[in-house]
Amino acid sequence: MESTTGFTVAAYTATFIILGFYTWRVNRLLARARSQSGLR
Amino acid sequence: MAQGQRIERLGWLAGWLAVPALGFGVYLSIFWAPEDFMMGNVQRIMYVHFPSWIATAISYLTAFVCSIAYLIKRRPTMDYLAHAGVSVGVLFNTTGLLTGSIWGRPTWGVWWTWDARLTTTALMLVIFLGYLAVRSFLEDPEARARIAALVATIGFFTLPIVYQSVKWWRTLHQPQSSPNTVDPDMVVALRVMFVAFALLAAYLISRRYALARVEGERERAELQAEA
Repeated sequence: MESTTGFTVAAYTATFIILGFYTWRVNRLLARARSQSGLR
Repeated sequence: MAQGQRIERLGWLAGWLAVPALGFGVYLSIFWAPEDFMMGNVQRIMYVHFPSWIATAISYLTAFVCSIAYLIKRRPTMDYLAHAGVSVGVLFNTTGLLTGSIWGRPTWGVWWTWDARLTTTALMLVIFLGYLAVRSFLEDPEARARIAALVATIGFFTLPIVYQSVKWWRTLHQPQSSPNTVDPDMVVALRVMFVAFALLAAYLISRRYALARVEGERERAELQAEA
């Protein structure tokens, strides 16, 4: 069977990039919303 | 302590626990769990694919319960939590579909097929994207929260259909596996990843909830100032 390791690496990389990006973005939006509104 | 603060503190705790759990889970998935004798290394995609669906289910279940609570009690907190649940559910729904597609190419020979499991999960994603679209279209906060809660409540019923799809229809996607038929080392790695993804989902829901709450309170203050 041909090597399928590349697909595994692609799946893990894509998953953690997407999850990492969402985490970064939601925290950034929250920090911005709090600083603009003064609300905690 | 206010309910919002309690949710955020629990979220922080889940976030801090998720980091080592994810690191340990990835280690177990890649280096410790044995290679599948038929599929080889590509089977390791299961350790991010299946937990993505667990996190999706937790998130949509949160949205469902909070939407019903909103429809009964009309408390904004429930609307913010439902919104957070759907946002995070869409995120994990996407990673679940994406990892499934990457797994499908070397095992089925196609990136996508209109199999019942794949089609119902795509339909579920479209319905919850519709929920987010509804929220962005409606300006009146109460009408928005009410209609969104109805969409989330109805949309949630796609989840049991997705779960049962491999039993109700003949599908290319395999039916649910039992821990009894899987190597015990694989089960351990999978369970650690379940916990890690569930903790991450809880953390992200709490952060998205905090964002929804700040936006909601700001909007309410602006509307009061205009009135």
